[in-house]
Formats: sequence, C-alpha cells, structure tokens
Amino acid sequence: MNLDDALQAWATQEVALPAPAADDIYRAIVATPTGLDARWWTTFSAQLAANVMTGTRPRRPVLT
Amino acid sequence: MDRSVEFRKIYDAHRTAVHAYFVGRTGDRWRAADLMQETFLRAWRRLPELTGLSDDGQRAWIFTVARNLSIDEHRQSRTRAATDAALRAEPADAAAPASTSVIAAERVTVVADSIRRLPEQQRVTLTLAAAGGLTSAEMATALGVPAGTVRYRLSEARRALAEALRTYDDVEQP
Repeated sequence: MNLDDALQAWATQEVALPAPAADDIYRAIVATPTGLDARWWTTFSAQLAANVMTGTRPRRPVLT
Repeated sequence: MDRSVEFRKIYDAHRTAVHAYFVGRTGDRWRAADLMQETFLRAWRRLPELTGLSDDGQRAWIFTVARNLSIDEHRQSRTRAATDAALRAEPADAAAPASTSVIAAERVTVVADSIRRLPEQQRVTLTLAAAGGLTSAEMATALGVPAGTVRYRLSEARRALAEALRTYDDVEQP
C-alpha cells in the first residue's frame, strides 16, 4: 500500500461524512425559515454594549 | 427553479470539501459536521447572493464563511494548543475491514497519526486534497492563499508522511 492508497483509506475511514448524515443536515437546513436570523439580537446587543461601554467610559484625568 | 433544489446543487457541489476543511481544523468528524451545517445554513439564508455566482465564486463565498466560523470556533471553545493536544492524544480510529491486510491497516494508522502531528496549515491542506477532492487551484480559492503556497504545503505534508511510512517500514520489515 503506497502513500496515496493509505491517504485514500484514511480519508474514507476517518474523514468522510456518511451520506445519511449529510442528507439529515440538508433536510435540517432547508426546514429552517429563511427570514431574519432568530439570533440577530445577540450580535446587535453585543455591539450595542460595546458602544455604550466605549461611549460612557470616563476620561482619564490629565496629570500635570 | 425551486429554492431547495437550487440549494441542493450548491450543497452537493461543496459539502465534501467544506466538511474536509473543518475536519482538518478540528480533527473531529462530527464537530466538523456541525460547523459544516452552520456554514450551509448561512448559505441557505443568503441563497440569492450565491446563485448568481460561478462555481469558483460560490466556493470563495462558502469558504470565507467557513474560515470565519473556524476562527470563531477557536476563540469561543478552545485554544489552538488544546486542539493540537487533543488531535495528538486521540487514538487512531483506523479499524480496517476484514479483507484489508494487517500491514495495510497499520500503514493507514501510521498515516493518520502523522497527519495529526502536522502543522495545522499543512493538515488542513492535505485533508482538503485527500478527502475534499479539490485541485490546487480550487484549494487556493478556498483557503485564500496562492496556488504555489497550497502546493508547497501539500509537498511538505506528503514528505512528512512518506518519511513516517519509511520509518515504519524500516522498523517492521528490516
């Protein structure tokens, strides 16, 4: 068994996703509504929190 | 064309490579399946953007999402060092079918162990080539690097594996 054969066997045994699993994933995806991502608020609120933190951070007093 | 039929074409064309990419990054076939699902879920939600693209354009779009997800995965759940440690520690799952000779099965195990020890960029490139079925040019698009870089990484990875097999042969069959 040469390197290419060994690689092919490795890919089949350890990497390849079984077809039924791939089909299940496909069905789960197409069953998902295509509207607004239900998790839109997580990005929104994280960005909002970051902006609030930045905008309200007290300025460091200038030492003279 | 029906939206799900259109998506199925894209999914079938790219899923093997995307899954192989994530296996190369995570070393875990089922974690890779989760990340592949997340990648294609984003493609499904933005299907109109994808359908107008060429095959290469679709590959670039999908792999940009995949690379970003992979970065997020690293940030959120584990450090790169922990991933590599897990990859090295995980026992080889290379159970050979009964018809395969013991020596052939052992050579596959040697290759699998060596792949786990490769630097990540080489491991990802080799996995894409061996299991993803992509050419060097397609891998260059997928990984966002020049084709020459892909060929160099592949060459280095294959050299390391060939060396590991030679060492195995020297020990097992003097």
